[in-house]
Amino acid sequence: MSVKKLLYIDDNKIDSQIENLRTKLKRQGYDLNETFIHLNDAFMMKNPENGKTILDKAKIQSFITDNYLNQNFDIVASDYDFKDENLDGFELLKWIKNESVSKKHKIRRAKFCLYSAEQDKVAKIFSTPEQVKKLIKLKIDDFIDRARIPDEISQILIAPQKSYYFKEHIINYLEKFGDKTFKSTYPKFKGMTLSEIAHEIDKDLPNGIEFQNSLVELTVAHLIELNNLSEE
Amino acid sequence: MAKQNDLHFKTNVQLKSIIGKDLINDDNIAILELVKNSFDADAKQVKIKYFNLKQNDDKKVETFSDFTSRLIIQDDGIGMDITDIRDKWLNIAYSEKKSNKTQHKRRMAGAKGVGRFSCDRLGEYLNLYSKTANDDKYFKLSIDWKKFEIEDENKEIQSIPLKYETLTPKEFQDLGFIRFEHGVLLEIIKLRSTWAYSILDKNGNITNWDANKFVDLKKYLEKLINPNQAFESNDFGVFIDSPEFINENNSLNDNSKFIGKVENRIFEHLDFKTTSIETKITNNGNELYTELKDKGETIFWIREKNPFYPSITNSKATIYYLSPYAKSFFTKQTGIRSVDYGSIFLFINGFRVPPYGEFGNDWLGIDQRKAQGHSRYIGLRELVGQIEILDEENDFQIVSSREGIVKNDSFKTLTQSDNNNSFFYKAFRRLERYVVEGLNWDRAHEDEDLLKIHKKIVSGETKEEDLEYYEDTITKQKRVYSTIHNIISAKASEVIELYINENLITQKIDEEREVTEREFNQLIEDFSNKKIDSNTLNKILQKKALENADLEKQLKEFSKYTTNEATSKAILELQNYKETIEKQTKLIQELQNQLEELKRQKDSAEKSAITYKEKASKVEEDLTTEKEKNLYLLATRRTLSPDADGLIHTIKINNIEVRDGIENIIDDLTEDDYNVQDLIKKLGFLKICAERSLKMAEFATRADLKEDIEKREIDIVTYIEEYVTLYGETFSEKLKFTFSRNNSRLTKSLSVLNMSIILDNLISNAVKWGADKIHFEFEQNSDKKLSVFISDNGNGLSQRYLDNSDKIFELSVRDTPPTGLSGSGIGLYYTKNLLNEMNCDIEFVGNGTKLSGATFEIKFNTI
Repeated sequence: MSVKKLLYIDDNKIDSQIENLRTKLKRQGYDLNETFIHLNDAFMMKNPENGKTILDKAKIQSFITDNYLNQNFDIVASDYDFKDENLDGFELLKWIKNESVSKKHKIRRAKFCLYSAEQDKVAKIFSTPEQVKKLIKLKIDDFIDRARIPDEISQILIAPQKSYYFKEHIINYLEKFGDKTFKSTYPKFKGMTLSEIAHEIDKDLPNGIEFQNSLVELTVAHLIELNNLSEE
Repeated sequence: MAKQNDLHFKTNVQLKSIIGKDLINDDNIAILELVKNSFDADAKQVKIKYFNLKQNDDKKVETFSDFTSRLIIQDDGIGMDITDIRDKWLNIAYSEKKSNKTQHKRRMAGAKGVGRFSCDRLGEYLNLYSKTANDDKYFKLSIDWKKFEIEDENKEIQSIPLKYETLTPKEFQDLGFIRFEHGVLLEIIKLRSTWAYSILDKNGNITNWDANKFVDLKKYLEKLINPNQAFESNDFGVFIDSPEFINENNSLNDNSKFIGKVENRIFEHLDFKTTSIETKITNNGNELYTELKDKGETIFWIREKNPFYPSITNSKATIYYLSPYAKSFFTKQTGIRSVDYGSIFLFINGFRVPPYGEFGNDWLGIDQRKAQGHSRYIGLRELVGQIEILDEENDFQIVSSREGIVKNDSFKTLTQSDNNNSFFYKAFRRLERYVVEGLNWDRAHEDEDLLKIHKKIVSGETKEEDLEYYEDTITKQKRVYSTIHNIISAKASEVIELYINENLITQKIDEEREVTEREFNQLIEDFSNKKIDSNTLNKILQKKALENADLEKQLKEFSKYTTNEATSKAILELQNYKETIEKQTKLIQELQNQLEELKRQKDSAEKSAITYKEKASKVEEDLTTEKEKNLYLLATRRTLSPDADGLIHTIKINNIEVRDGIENIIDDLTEDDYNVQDLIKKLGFLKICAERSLKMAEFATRADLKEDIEKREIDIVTYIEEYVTLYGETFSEKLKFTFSRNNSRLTKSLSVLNMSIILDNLISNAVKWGADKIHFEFEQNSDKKLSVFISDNGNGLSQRYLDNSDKIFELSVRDTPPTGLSGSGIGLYYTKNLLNEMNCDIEFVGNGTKLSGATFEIKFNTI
């Protein structure tokens, strides 16, 4: 069964909803592998001079960096309102997205969603041109009503692919056989594991790009060759 | 090896005719060549004198006599001694210019060393007399050119003996000449051409003489003499004399009189009538200086880097544009039509290069360019002028007397019209743009009959100040000002210094300033008379903005160049004027604001009157609408009190979990995919959710909900005491609570909702186990740790769990109390769960440790 990976961030537990989502996916033939970042754990908090306990953005960031940025996820979803003056879901997603895009972390290929129990309240926050600009720049994939998380997220996860991303496909495919070692045919990668090759491609390193080029050329050449055979 | 033999050229006698009378086929050119020789010999004067033209024995005598026709060309140059005559004059093709470009402070004019054969062209015999200052005798060389005119292939030119003799001053004087200290006298005898024709009446008597050939000669020489005298000292004069023709000469008009000094006066006064541009190379060839003048006034001058270096280093061009009026003045001044005079002449080292510039000669391709279809180009007919070159390097080589100069790269740099990238065209285009774009051709008034005006100008009846132009000066000036940068068309990086007529700039400002002032005063007056409205002011403001933008643009354009002081001052005025405009704009804006404020007040007064009326009539209507509206939902989110807002958020989240949780259970049951333990867990969770909802309902009436109940910074000790005191009674009226605070205090951020449920659970548990007293004891372990001991006087934990008391916090483990009031068994499980979520914990301490019943310890931590 194909596995869909979800990372969600909330200050409340939403176990029932996740359970619900799992059921929905199961019916479509997918397993849900979810990861929950519960912004309630003591190590994510700090207590500055004024005495009020707030979320510690730096700690949260380093926690996410250490544990999740270099993982593949299908969806990264976050609650908007963390009940914290220091941090909200938008800021956190923005950071994850920018960080992962600029450093080419694997997580960047996930779909990013924000959810809220009170969407209309959140909408009001994005009421100035500056805010709208910020929002547009982030290019979030969806903004979901908290009450409909299982429906919406399952739809996103099982929606048919609208475009085909060669690079992503090739990386995922290589990762599938990540432990296997590459022997020859492409001398530059000799002795590397497929996972290491996937890494080269993922990071847009020169050899990775070159490899994709020759892969396409080889394949097409091979197809032509097959063509000729069938004609004979 | 074959034997080597020498061969060499021979010079046949007939060479004389080839380079003499056959090559130089024009009398005027022949004379010019001889004049050039005199010039090169540092002569101050050359006299050209004719004798025996009216009456002579040319046809009667075999050779010549005193009565034979004669032309004497005499100069006061340095003269030649016998060596000079032998080695230079008689040395064909020898030219001192080839080895010595400047002599006697003059750049030499002759170049090919054949000029002396012009004598052959002019007459059959030559007597050359020469004396240097060092000799006390005259040398005389006699040549009979006929002796060279024999057809004999073996006769070489040097085989013809030429007689020479020396004469004492006395002997020289006896020949009828006046003595001279130094110089050359050429006596050309038996002239080949007829210089004057007799006009006969029907009886064959001579009535008159046609002396036009002399006039032609004079005009020819005139044009050859650089009007601006390229040479450094203006000390060279050519004189024509012909004593027999004094009467004929006197009967001619001033422009045609041929006896006397030959002078080129054409450009002397043209400045006042024309538009002209002068461009010259200065500063050792590094700079190009160009000055455009219009009717005597300098419009601009510009010093820029010489783009033609090093091809063109010592040159100057003066180009005059002749408007229809200017053409008439030209005719008045010179006696000929400008078109007959010619166009742009080329002077190299002080002498003209024929045929350039002569009538019909378009050596610069000006008409050709115009014919290619641009009506905005000036034609040859509208131009006169000259290019002067002092050519020391022999960059410009003269082909022959009638064919101009070699078309080499230097010639191209001088004349090519491609991209106007030549010395001539760069200046010419500036003049052209000035005339076409600035002056719009400086046209005559449409109504003027040009022919009539022309006659009046030539006759002197109409003066310059009487002329009427199609456009007045101001209009033309304005247009010139607006296109001046385009006219100059200079690259800022090339410009060293720029002068633009300051009057051109200030005149524009002055005029505009006057208009602006007047308009502005009118505006102020209208404003105080309330004769102006906001719209008008708006229009004026727009106009000012345009004006300001225009000035801005002009200033920006000027700022590109280094300008001359006078121009800079004018630019400063422009800047000041711009500031004036800005000030005015500001004032108008203030007026505008005042006006708008007034209008606003008026409008608002009117409006409120209307509004009141409308309001009155609307109240009833609104009332009905409101009633209807209240029956339905609001389309937009209502603004709730902060209390309710926070609560609703929590309710929503809580109930979403409830809904999905139930859905999950239904799913599990429907699919028959469940285990009891899991189901209990899920239902337990739902129970907590339901409890939370109930608690929220309670809170809604009593708690302060402005702050989030799911995350609130509280002092745990105070909170527990307060909560238990307030709510504790709801469990049992008999219940008593006691507290030992022990000065403890711990602030923590937690969900007070969950905290309340935890306390509820613990209290209700105690009640179930028969307690009527519950004691809360606080113990501060550190500044971040607090223990709360909850002790009751109930039955205590059953014996079977005392050894493994942890089990009571597990799901569906329950100890049945003796009261029979059994709980669901999920209470302690979720109590622990909720506490864990707060990073806290709970454990059973023991029976009878504080009060007689069970004692639990809750361990609170904070960060």
